[in-house]
Amino acid sequence: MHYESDPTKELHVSVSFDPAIDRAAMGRDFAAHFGTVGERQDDIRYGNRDRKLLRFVEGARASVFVLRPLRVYERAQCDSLPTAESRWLRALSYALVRAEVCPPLSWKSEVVFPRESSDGRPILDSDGLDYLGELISYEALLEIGAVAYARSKLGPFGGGFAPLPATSAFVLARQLLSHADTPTATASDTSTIAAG
Amino acid sequence: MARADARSVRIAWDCDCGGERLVAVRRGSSAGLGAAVERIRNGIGKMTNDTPTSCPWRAYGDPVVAAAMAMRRHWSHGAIDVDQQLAVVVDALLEIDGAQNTVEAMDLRAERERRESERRMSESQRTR
Repeated sequence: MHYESDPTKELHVSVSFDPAIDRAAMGRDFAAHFGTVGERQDDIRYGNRDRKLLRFVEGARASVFVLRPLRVYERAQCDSLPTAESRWLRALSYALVRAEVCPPLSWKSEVVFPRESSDGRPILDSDGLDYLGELISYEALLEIGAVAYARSKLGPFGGGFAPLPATSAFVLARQLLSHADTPTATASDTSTIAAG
Repeated sequence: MARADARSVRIAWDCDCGGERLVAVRRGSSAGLGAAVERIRNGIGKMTNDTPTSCPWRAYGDPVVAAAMAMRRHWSHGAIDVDQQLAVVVDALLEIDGAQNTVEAMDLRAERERRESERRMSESQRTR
């Protein structure tokens, strides 16, 4: 068992679509590290997030997110939320210890720490989430949050990367956007036959 | 149990504990220690709905199990604030408690049935 597979310890996470990660060089290790997502539930394979498997593009540095395990009351608050995305984002706000973001994933290098909350525990508030989202994208927040949430549960190392459910508002919005980008036939493209 | 016997049992579980892959006895053996272990494995699967994939000693090497067992000592005395504990460890603790309760309940039922059958036997002998 490697250090990353111990869900009682802190975990250093990278994002699967970080351009600094050399996917070709990783080969099969990419799926082993990040997991795979298929069309069916059975096709989902959880990643082990073992950092020894990562390969980087020469001269590039990947952004790293340090996550701590969730406590009972924190996960209970996540569980009470209605959608997967909201649970993952709440899990991220609790679990994030620090985010070391840098280009090419982010447009600038910065280390983001959560603010102290009223009970003394650091928590990344909504402003912090928005700021981090602007730096690294909303998808990255969801992926890291999914890892934070999944490893608070028992399972095959709690499953590193959990896919977005197809019914999620975020996925539907993205589908709408992609449909909007797709060129469609217009009235001027079609031949018309004059009635008469 | 002698040391050699313990090793034999470990081999029969076909487990990789100790860093060495012990494959002398394959799962599903129809005779000897392998068959006994297979019966135990199936029995655990029936009782807990979860068939073990390693030997029982290997499970103690899992950090979550180790943390749950350490917490369990204080848990029974009500000496810990559950909300402040790691969620995954508390889940493991509840899983362990649930499995133990199931096994104890099955043992109690078996014991009660044994006593009942003994009582019937003695009653039938008395009436003869």
